[in-house]
Amino acid sequence: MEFGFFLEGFANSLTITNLGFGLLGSLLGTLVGVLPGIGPALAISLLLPVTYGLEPQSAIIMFCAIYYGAMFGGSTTSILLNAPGESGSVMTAIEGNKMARAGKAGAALATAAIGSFIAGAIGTGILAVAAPSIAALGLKMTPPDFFALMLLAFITVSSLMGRSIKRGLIALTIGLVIGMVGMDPNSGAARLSFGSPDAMEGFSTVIVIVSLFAVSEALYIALSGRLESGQLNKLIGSARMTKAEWGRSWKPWLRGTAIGFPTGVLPAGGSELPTFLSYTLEKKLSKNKSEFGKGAIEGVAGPEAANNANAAGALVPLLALGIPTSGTAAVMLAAFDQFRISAGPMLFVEQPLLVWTLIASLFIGNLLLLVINLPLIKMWVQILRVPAPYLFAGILVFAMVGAYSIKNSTFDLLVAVGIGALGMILRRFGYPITPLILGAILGPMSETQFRRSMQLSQGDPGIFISTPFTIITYLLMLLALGWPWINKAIKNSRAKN
Amino acid sequence: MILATKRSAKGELVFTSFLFLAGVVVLWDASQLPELATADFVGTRTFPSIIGWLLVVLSALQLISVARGNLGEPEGVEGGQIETKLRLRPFFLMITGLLVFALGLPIIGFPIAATILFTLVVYALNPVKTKLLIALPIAAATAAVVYFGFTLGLQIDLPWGFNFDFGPSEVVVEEDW
Repeated sequence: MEFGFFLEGFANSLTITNLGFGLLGSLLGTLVGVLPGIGPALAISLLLPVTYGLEPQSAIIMFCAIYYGAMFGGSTTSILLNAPGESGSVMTAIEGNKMARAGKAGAALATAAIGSFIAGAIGTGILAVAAPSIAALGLKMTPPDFFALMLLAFITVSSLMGRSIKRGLIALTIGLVIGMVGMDPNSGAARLSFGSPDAMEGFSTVIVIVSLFAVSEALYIALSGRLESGQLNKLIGSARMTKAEWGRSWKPWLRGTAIGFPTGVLPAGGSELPTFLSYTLEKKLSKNKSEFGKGAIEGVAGPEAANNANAAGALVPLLALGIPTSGTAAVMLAAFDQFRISAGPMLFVEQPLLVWTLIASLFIGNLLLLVINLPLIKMWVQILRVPAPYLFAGILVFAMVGAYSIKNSTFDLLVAVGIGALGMILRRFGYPITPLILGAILGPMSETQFRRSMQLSQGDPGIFISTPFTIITYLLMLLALGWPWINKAIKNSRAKN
Repeated sequence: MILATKRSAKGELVFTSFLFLAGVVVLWDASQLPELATADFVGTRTFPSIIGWLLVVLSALQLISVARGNLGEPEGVEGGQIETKLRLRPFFLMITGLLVFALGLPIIGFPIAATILFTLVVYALNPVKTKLLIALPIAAATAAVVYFGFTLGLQIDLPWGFNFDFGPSEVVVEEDW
């Protein structure tokens, strides 16, 4: 670790402005974590148009705090309302809500918050140590290596999200098509524009994200959903744990961190998989197996640590290689792009102060979250009393303003409605949304790496398997693609034996 | 097969066919691009053609799969439940709100367009319990807060509306040369 830069970054992150944006991000993140139907990816994309005028450093600190904060906040609704406000908190709801019903809401909230803090701190520590080394390796990577890595991200996210690989791949391809609209990067020829000068400029990433998350979700609920107010469990006393509950929590926190961080680094598509893995592991290892399903504290501690460590892990490939491994990380990449900062190996060389300020802010933001989260739980619960239809109406108005304010164009608004309707149909027929977003954002970048590779090899496609890294990456990709069949074959042979 | 499942199967077949057609359109569009002799050894048609073929092949495979009865499972809703029966009225109300906002913004202005959108969304999501006398003032207040917050606070221009421009108002007097 470059300790000088780290200290400088720490000092920089303690300025009033940066602390203020860190606090604002923490509060906003917790809020979006608490509220159903709005996650960190949507929150960041809604804020992208309104942060154009900010200092890049302050805006990015705020976005990272939102990412972390959403993981903290998601547990509150899972525990008190049995309604996960964020997809990474789905597993928390299983045991957390049962604990709350049994009058142990305080202990469930405390183990979730402290576990999130510990996982966030360990995760950020590993990020600080690992990211510069990976970035140094990234500097040696060639365009074919980057292209292979992007393909791996495409394939793993498509195959791990949703129930069918084919549907994941189709969603990814739709994203690639959306990302292709506009001008050819080299010749300037118009692609999929059909004579429209507005379409020739391409679709803004913000519009794609906002319409896929906000517009499509609202349309989907209007067409085939029913919002429920849910049964709010009471929080008696404060959020505290007994000695025995501390004893039962610390190992799941560490195991959750150990699962969450690497699955964040790998392109596994977000926090659903690690929280599921952590819950399953805790259930297997627990001495109190009979308590699972009735309110086992290990089932809250593990997944909550896993989702925060996952958020920290996802920042490693994002900062060091410029590769997003989840929907939120993809939106963060768009945020970097907005400020003309290219995330990736050069970030550590060109903008060391920015990157170290960001890492230091993550430590501070994590601590802020622990301090503000538990005392403010009753306030977050009050926010949940806002009727969901009003909440969605507000989100949609804000989303449409965001889409309009990019270029003051009604064409963009129509695109937002169109992509929102497409997203609604995809949700209806079980197509995952994350691969689509990854395709739309990473598609143009993968095209650039594809062209650079071909330029290097003077048109020889053999360059795509010319380095050991590319060969290993493609083998991993084949493994990800063939995993359902391999898994099935293993199960069959076990059953025969 | 119950009626709702039959309808869903038909809907999915139509949508997958649309994806197949979209792939064909991408391929057609790629074929129309000028093939320039650039120095990077990759023509303008290469990348779009790969994506087009990918969409055509994947959607063709999916068409077969859907025709065999492998239907997709609708995604869940955070803080709610999914219903098998589609509710077209709320859906069209919301789409109307969005289109009124998108097309009407330059004419009727942000405050009115946002008020209409907000009210229609609230009504669409809860038609039984929504009282317009409560929803409308909340919508108007939200629209006003967002309008002034964006225009005054963030210096982002939003149309006030009813700005009918009938051309230059001054009378141009032609002078003799």
